[in-house]
Amino acid sequence: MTALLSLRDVTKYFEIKRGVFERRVVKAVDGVSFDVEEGQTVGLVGESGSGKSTLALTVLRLYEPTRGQAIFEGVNLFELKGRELTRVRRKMGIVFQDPYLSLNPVKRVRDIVGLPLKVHMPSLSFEERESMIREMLEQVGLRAADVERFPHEFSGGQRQRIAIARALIVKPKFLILDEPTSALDLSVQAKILNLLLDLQREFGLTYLFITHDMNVIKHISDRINVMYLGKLVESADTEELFERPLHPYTRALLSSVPTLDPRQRGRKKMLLRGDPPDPANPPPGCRFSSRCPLADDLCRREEPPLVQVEPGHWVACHKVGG
Amino acid sequence: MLDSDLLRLIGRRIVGLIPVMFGIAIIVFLVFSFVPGDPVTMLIGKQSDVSEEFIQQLRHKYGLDRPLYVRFFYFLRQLIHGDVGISYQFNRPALEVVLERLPATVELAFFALAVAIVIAIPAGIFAALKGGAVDRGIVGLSVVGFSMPNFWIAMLLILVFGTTLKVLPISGRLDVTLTVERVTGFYILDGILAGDWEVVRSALSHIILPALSLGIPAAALIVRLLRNNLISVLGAEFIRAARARGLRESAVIYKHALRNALIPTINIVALQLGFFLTGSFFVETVFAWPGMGRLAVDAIYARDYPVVIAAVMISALFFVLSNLLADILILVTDPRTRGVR
Amino acid sequence: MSRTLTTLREDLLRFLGGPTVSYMKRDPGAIVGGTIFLVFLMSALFAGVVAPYDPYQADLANSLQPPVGFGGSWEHPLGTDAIGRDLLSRLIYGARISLSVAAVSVTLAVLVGVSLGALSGYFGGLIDEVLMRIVDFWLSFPAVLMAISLMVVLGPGYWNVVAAMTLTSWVPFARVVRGEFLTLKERPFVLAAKAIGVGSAHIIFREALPNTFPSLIVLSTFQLARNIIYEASLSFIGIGVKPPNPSWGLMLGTGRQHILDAWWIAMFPGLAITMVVLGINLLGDSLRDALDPTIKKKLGVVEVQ
Ligand SMILES: Nc1ncnc2c1ncn2[C@@H]1O[C@H](COP(=O)(O)OP(=O)(O)O)[C@@H](O)[C@H]1O
Ligand SMILES: [Mg+2]
Repeated sequence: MTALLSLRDVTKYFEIKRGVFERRVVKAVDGVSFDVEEGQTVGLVGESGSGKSTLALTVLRLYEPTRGQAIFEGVNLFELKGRELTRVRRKMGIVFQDPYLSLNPVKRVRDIVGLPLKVHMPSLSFEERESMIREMLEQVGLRAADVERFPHEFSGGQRQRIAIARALIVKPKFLILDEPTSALDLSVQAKILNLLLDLQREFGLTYLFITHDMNVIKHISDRINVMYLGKLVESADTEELFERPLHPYTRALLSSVPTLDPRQRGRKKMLLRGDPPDPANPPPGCRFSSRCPLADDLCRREEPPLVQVEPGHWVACHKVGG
Repeated sequence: MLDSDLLRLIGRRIVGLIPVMFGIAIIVFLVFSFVPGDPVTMLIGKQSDVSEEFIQQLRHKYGLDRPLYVRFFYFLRQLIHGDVGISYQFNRPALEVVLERLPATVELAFFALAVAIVIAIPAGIFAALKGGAVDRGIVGLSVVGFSMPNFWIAMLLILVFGTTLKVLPISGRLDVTLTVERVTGFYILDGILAGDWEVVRSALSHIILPALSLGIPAAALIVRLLRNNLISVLGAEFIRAARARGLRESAVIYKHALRNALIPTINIVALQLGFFLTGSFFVETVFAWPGMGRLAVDAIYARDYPVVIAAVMISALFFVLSNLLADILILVTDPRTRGVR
Repeated sequence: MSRTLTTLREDLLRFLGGPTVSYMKRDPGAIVGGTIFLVFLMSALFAGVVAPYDPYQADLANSLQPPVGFGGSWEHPLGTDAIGRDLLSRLIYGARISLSVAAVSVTLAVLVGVSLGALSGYFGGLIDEVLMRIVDFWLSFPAVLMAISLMVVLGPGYWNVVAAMTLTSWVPFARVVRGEFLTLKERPFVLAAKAIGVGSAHIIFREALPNTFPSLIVLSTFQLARNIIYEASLSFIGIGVKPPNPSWGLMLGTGRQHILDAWWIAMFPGLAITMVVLGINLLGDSLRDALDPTIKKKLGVVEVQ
């Protein structure tokens, strides 16, 4: 297996100016590395505010990276400029969380879904473009005649289908799905997830699937990365992670999932207390130490490195392995 | 209500005015440095027997032969000393001439404000409470009110009250037969101070029409705001809660709703003071009101630019101060803005 | 570029069509306002056909004729001025000056304000810093006063008035557009377009700008009304349009001297200003309610003269 996308030390800091003199640095993503294998679905989980969206937007160069590398098919996305960058964009797409915000309210479905064609296949005639748009709409479960309509005429689930159609119309290889179902009703969520799985099979897509919902991630992904306050804390194949979660944060996330598995029911419940600390002012040492039941002086002093404890199972915790 | 936080905020706003006034000075300087023909040509006027040498001397004296930025610093230095030049018409410092006329204009502005408030507040409350046709009528009238140019309202009033009904004087501040010792420059106040009720009566009768001309458009604006605020406040949660507690309707309206609806209105009311000063350029012209606005318009005709500049700077200062007053009133009255920033 | 203009026009017309029109058709204010405005617009456009007399033609034998119903005849329905010019004809030609000064200056102000506002809101940085300082000064300097100062310097004249009006009315447009762009550029649909690979021009013109149209339409109407009053005000004190142009403000200025012996010279031009401004304000109110009940807050309050 080869990695389609390799992230190495991806970092994004936001500088926030308050007044003339005061500056705060928010370390939204801090040195994250992991691989996305071709044809797989890789999950990215973490509480809200842990930097998942920032990571996605930085990889796609919608935010300027602070440092690091994102190697996509052998080229570092962070070094691309102008034309080259535009050309790579054709191979990648993104679907955002809230389909009420991700579609321009003044544009018709035709213009929304057809935009990637105009950018990446400018030589198409109007008719060719139109027929591709209509075909794509039907593939995501909408009607061809919907091209004429505006976003506000659709339900949330239908809007998300439009956003998916837009992302897929130029047949990219790789799609980032940033919580694509969490703004939708429960009944609609399953339908969209199944649509995404069908499309993945049909087009041979690779997904980076972002969510805070452990149920969804278990259902859909091959491998899971766990983020906390901008740091990667654990990374393993899905089955391994659910069987043997090592980082206390991962365990806490998992224990919030109701389970029927008798082996796991016996395990001690671990609940997260309080809110994550301010990312502009994280605790020294391990960033999780302020909420960790196992934390000791070492944790509060030294940041734990990400180490491989089993083949393919990485974790950043002083209390594990060693 | 006044605590140190608030004072600090107000202090900061006042300090913030310095760059604003500085910017205004730059704009005024730049604009007026493009006046065709420099002040020397203007000073000399039609006299043809002046030598070229003398003109050069004069130009040197006023610094007109220097580069623009040097002249700007010259201008600023003079400005700090309250000197914007000598009026060509009066041959006295322009600022002095303008300041003499300022009380007449300020007096007018305050009466206009009083007119606006007296009309707007009852009308706004009435419209919001009665609803239906009354509301539509008042809102309609208010649109008409701020669609009228103030100087045309002035002429309408002259026509109706001055020449047709002949009940009110249509020009000046006082009957020509009367005089009053100038203490404050506000004739009504001066009349009271002097105990001369004849002067007070005459001054009041003179100020009514100009004050109406300025006050009506302002009233029209305030009515609408107050009505809109009141209607949205009356629909708000806490009002329903007050009603549910069994408070009398009048108590609900006056104690709770009105106070909350007035807070955002106060801001706009204070801003009007600034607008009245510019409005006075037109209304004073119609009523021959001897204030700053009319002086400025006359100075424009006479190409007496130092006076125009002085009037513009003073009006701008008043405008900025009325903005400041509006902000302070918001800070003092609105609990939501307290403690923010 | 021309494709951009075409789609922009379509986006604009979309806001002015369909639901907006059907809302306004049910709003009596819009109907009254629209009718008044149309009457004036038609008079301005077809002044040559509608006006009974040459607006510049003096006729001393017939000076100071009162209007019909006040001792005058249908010869001159609204009477004549001090040198016998037909008041009705002058009013009709005056609509041309009044409406064209306002329309041209608002159009220019929209172009200037929208460009600067969009650049500064979208790119931020130095442009934004500079623009915001300028806006601060403009706002602390009453527009009328600014217009007066400019006219004193430029001298009277049609195009000078247009210039002064433009310079005093671009700021609200810049402010509104900048404010909207600040939030629009962070919106996911803009990020989505960037992820596709479009350039800044596409984002500014095709994605963001159409979303500011509701605010711009409403602001333009109010600004149009304001500029009509400003033109009249400047002309009234003799620093606007030059005589013998039949500007309503100029007519009011001369009418002032005859207020005691020939009231109609001042009354009718004032009435004309009030009517047309009223019509536009009514249209603006209705457009505002039709387009979006919440944009009121973004626009702030309309200032009075
Ligand atoms: N544009 C931005 N400017 C400043 N801070 C930001 C910006 N975007 C996100 N952040 C901050 O970065 C952190 C991570 O946010 P985000 O990536 O949205 O997390 P998640 O998607 O995991 O919920 C948060 O603390 C957030 O406040
Ligand atoms: Mg997110």
